Amino acid sequence: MSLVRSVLTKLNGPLRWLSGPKRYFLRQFERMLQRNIPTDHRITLNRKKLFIFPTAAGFGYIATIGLVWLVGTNYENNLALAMAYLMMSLFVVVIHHTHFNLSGLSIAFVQAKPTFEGEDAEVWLVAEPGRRVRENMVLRWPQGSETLVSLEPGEQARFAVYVKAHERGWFYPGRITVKSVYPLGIFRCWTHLDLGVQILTYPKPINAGPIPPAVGNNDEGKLHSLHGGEDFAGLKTYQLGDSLRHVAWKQYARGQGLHTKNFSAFLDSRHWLDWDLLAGLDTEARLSRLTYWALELEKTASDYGLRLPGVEIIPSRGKHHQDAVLKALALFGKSDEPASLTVKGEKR
Amino acid sequence: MSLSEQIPRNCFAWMLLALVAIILPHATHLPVWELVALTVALIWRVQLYRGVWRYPGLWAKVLLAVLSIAGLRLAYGRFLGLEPMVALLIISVILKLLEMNKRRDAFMVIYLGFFVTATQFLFHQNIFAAFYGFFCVLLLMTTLMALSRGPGVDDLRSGIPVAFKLMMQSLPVMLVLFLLFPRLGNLWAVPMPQHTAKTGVSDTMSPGDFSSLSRGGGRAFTATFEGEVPSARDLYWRGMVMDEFDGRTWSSRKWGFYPDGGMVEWNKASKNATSPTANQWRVNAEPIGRSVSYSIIMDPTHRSWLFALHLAESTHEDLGVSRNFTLRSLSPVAQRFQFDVVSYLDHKVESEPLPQWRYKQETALPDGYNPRTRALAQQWREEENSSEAVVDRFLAWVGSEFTYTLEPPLLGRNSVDEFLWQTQRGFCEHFASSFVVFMRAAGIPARVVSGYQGGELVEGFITVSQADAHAWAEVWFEGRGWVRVDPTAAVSPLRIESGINSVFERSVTNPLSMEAYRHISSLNWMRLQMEKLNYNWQRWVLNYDREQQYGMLSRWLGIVEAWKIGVLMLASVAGIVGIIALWMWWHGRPEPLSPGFQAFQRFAVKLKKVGIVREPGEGIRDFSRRAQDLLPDQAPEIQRIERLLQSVLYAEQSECLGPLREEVARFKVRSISAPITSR
Repeated sequence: MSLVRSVLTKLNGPLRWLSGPKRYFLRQFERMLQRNIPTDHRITLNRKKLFIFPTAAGFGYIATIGLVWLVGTNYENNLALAMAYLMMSLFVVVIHHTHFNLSGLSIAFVQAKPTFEGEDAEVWLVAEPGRRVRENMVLRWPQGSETLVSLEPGEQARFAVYVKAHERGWFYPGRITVKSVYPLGIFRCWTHLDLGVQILTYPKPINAGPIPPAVGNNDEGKLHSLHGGEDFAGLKTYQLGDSLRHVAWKQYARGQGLHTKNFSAFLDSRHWLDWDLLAGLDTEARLSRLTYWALELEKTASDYGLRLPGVEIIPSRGKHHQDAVLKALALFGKSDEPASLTVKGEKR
Repeated sequence: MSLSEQIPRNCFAWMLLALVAIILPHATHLPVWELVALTVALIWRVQLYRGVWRYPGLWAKVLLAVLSIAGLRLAYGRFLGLEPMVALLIISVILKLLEMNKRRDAFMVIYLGFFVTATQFLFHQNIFAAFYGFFCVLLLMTTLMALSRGPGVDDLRSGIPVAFKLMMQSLPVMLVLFLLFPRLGNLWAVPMPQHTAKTGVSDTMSPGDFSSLSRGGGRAFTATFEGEVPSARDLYWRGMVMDEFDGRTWSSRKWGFYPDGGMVEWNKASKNATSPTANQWRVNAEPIGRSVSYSIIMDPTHRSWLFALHLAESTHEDLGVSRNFTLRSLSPVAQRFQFDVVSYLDHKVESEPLPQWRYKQETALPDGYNPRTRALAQQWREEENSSEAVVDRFLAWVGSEFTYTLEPPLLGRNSVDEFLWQTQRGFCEHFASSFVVFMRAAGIPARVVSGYQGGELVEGFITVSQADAHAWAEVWFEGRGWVRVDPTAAVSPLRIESGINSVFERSVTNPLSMEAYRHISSLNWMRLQMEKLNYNWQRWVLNYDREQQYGMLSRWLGIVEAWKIGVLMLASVAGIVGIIALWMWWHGRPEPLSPGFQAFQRFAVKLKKVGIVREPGEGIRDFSRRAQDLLPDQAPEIQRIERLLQSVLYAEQSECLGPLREEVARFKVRSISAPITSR
């Protein structure tokens, strides 16, 4: 329960000695959640998965019923009493309206866009309301912002819920809270769902100064000398836009297809984002700076490669290449694949 | 201010509407400046919303609060009392409205609104007040809903059907609670409404009082008889006995010390008294035979005298009997009031010879008034040999020469002389007054009685209107005690036999009273229907109290015990709420699975029994592969099922559904080569 959680988080400071029990309760609560609401990409809410409790305004409402009842009782006034009973009755009936506003709703995880550490990740979900109108549902990750969703019956809705990714790698945003106080605001119905969301989180880009010069390796520098320009380096398939001056007409005449002669000068703009360039910094700082360079280089449309201990990506460019580089940076020293649903479930 | 702290636009609109609706019924007893304040606050609120004006500052708020307190003090002259307290409550809602700016404030205003709505029932309790109250609660619920729905819902009307549905669903449980929830009775003393406008028969009588009362119309009370209703000529509802005359006005003695006890004997006091200190005068009343039982429901009169047939007895704890044997209430009747009465229509009161001081009281007349009457009375006393003969002679005179009219001429200083010899036209109070003055002048003890006579029989109950207000006389005869004599009956027997409307077709001239339209049959029918509705409303709803609850429960449960009531209440509430929940579940029940998927589920259940559980998110293909690995013997079977499933679910080949069902039905895990320990 978020209530328990918020109370427990306030126990810091003078009551720090309670942090043992606090951690114990949180763990027990997590285990209870995992038992009742196991991880799944698609969860249909039902009685077992929903919590319901009066809000602060709900307690105000109860106090008001008490006052109206006192008026009715002290004046022996049946109409005031009837009004108090109507309000009591409404209180009981509203429990069901609040509950059924969420019960039967299905929520599924669609995709999470990769993001940079410290930025808001967009997590796309789909909600299926079933036969019922779903009013004023608020969805929120533990460290995210609120998203308000209302649905008409039978109308599937896709929407994004944002969460700050504060850890590099496959970031697990925790359980998403879905809550609703509809219709009167005197009851809150809520649940905490683990939709198995994993957000690929790149290191936070940090300005690392000028881009490392192209070609960091001396041997390669000799081979593909910058001034040579005309040294033949090989053939590649002709692509629209290649200069006709460089077409290998000899091969074309032999019926081997249209090729372009590749000269060493074209290879010279390769940049290596090398782990060793940043010796002296710690891992995260290095990764952040490499990420910054990768982004900058992609903008300047140059080829770049990545060298991390145990990882090498040969220079290239384009969206896919950039994604591969960033992913390698994100997952450096972390597990490669998102934890499988069940395994993760058991770990927790 | 975050988004969730803001008060939605919708909520403002509903709140302003709801506040106007809940303050309106209080308009009659609120000071005028408070209504002006409400209007100003509403305008201010709208301007605030439009961003034209600003919130009042701290000093402005202090000033407004001080002004309000001063205004209340000026308007009421006191702070204790129901009206000033309600006015204070309402002005605080209005002021709170001005400074409202967060959701919390809005909740506060709405909850205060519920409280104000409850107080309107202290002033109005008829069936329309109930409907209006329901309407007010509906508006407040809609406001509450608009508040919790947050921004984004722009359709102003969308809330009201939902709120109405919620309230209708709540009515059955409300009814159960109303009937079964324990009634505690008042927990502490509370101030009652104190209208300045008292209604009904007063405790003084001057010429012209009754005719104007009669013209006003309006219900005085209703009476429900057990058994037969006495005939109209016996329906003299006795209110006040007036035995002091100052030459123009009759009034009742309010204080004095008497050798035989106090003015009133209260039921409560006599119950609690340790020694029997009953007043001696109680023995003066002597019931003889015929008794009738009935109960009376009175509308508030803000006076303490009650109306009943002579000789009345009631055991209601808030009642007492005056020494003239009229019923009195401990405090002025400020709310609708019901009491049960037994009346002995045949009785003797003070049949023993009157002591000297009593005789003096009942024959006293002021000196210097009505000389001609006094002279004639003395003359008749000498001519006739009994009191009865004087009475009969007077009635015969009046009956032959006088006229009964709703518009009597005005009378001067010697009112009785002028009436008897000059105008000779009068309403009941003229006849009663001149009769009693005449008798007293003749040395015969006599007194004026005011109250109501007759009433309209509507389906088993009698409704008595202000138009039935009446004054008559009681004369003391030796050996018989006090005997009722109605001089009006001598002038207009029809008035007594069949009511005032048989004499004057349009006795009520008040255009606001439905009784003024008795001559229009459709309107009269409507009036009677409303009388019935109101009567039943009062009898079954407003008067449902602890005793009635107990009576009803003992009829249902036999012996009434707390646990039985608790069980009954909980069971009925749970039953009703269960039905509502079931109905709501039915409306949102999940769509049935497709037949193909149902078959797959049956298949998965069979595998689950041997420990092969489908993981969340695991596709049909992966699941089937895993099952084949774990059950190599049955791999072909599983594969067939998988292929059929694929074609039914994804290729939508419905002809494969039959074979799929058969395969799944036939499928049975034969043997497990090795126990499956891990999934």
